[in-house]
Amino acid sequence: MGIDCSRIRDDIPELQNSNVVFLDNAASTLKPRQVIEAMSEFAYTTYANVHRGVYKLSMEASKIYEDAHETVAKFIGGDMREVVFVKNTSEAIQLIALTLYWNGYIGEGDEIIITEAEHHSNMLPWVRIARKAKAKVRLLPVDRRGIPRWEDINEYLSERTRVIATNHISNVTGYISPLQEIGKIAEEHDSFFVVDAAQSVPHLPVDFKKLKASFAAFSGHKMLGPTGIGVMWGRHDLLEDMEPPLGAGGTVKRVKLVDGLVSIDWEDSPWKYESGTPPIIEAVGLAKAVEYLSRIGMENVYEYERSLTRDLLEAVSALDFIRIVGPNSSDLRHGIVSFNVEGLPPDVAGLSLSRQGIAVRTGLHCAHILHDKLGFPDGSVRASLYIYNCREDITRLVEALESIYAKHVRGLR
Amino acid sequence: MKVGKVIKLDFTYEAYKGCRDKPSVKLVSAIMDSNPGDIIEIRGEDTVFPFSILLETLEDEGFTYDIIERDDLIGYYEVRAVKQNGGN
Repeated sequence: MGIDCSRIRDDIPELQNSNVVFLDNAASTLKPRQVIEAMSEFAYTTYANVHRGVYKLSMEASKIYEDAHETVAKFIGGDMREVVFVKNTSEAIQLIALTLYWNGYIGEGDEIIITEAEHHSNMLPWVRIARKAKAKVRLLPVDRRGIPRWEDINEYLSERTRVIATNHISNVTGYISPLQEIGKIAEEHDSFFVVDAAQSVPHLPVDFKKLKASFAAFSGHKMLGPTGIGVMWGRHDLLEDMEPPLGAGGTVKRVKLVDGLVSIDWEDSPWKYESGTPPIIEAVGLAKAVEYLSRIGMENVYEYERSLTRDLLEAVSALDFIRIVGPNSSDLRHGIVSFNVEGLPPDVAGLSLSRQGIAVRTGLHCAHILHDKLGFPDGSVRASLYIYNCREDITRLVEALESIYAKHVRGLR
Repeated sequence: MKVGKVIKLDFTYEAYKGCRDKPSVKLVSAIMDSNPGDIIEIRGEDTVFPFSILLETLEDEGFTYDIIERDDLIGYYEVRAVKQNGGN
């Protein structure tokens, strides 16, 4: 079954009566009315805090909140005990890094491998934890296309490698990492394998267990869901064995004084990792977004976006004043094409596109080292796709780029 | 028309360092923040924010402007724009 982008557009209120071409989906996606209405309906009729109330509203809200874990778990091949709701991908990866450190898995002399292609969300937590623990971050370089040199991984592995952390899809180049192979390497070296799946879970079928991941992270707002909710996924045995670094309300079964000392009996996972009142309304929205995507089918999402990505890359590459960031082959990418317009700073190109009704992201996309390495120190313009983008959107982007360049750069020469 | 507030924008290379500190965002914010009679004074360089795009944007947004200084050779400019009634 293919995807009818115009039918999906009918579900997106922000695209009704609007001529905008929305190509900023790697930053955040627009929301279908089904998601908005589910959250609104819940807030109107069923909202209460979860897990501790015995009154009807709280019981219903708790059931819906727990079911949301189940829905998300099925979507990524896990069970609900492995799905921890947090604020977003950034918070999830920080929680993973903190959890490993807190439980003694990252200590003095240990090594963490990340790549130069990481979003800061999958770079800074490891750098900071390493500094705190007197461990070392080893940065796997990228080649001139921005592809991490996984073929050189053996030079970076050692008996002290504790963590290999990488993105699944780069938020700048759209490059798809070979996770099967990396997962195998991590397993062979008895290392934790952490996947930043912010740009993959919304766009293709993902099963973290099959990928041999230990932990993974993604955000609700990049997959039709609301802001304020993301997922830290962790293998159940690991989550169960470890102690959460953030102990607070909701994370414990019982706290007692034993011989004058505070004794803590932790909740089972995932609850022991969800400290304080969780994102309840947001969980309803995320579950609805997952249902929406599941109904379309993630294979269909992947295939549709794959062909759109190919068309986008071909169309933009064909412009002689465009310099593409990342690999030229669309087989190596998914959903994202970043580029620079000759003679225009990225943010000014973005403003000019915006004035023609085209929404793109500009700047360094929280990947400064990658941009520097590839010779784009001032950043790039990023066009990123989703299921409500149609081929006309690509045509309009190309026409707008041609007209901006003709008027403001070529015209002045 | 009553003279309003004066907003100064610096689009020279030295002025921009941070991720969120984008000239385009500063300009759009200043435009959105302007009422008739308000003045935007901009000094800048083509490599940071091209002159032609600046003038086009100001015109479309209902500003009249005076070019205080323009050096094509080094791509430097100073512009004083006044918000009129109307605009896009």
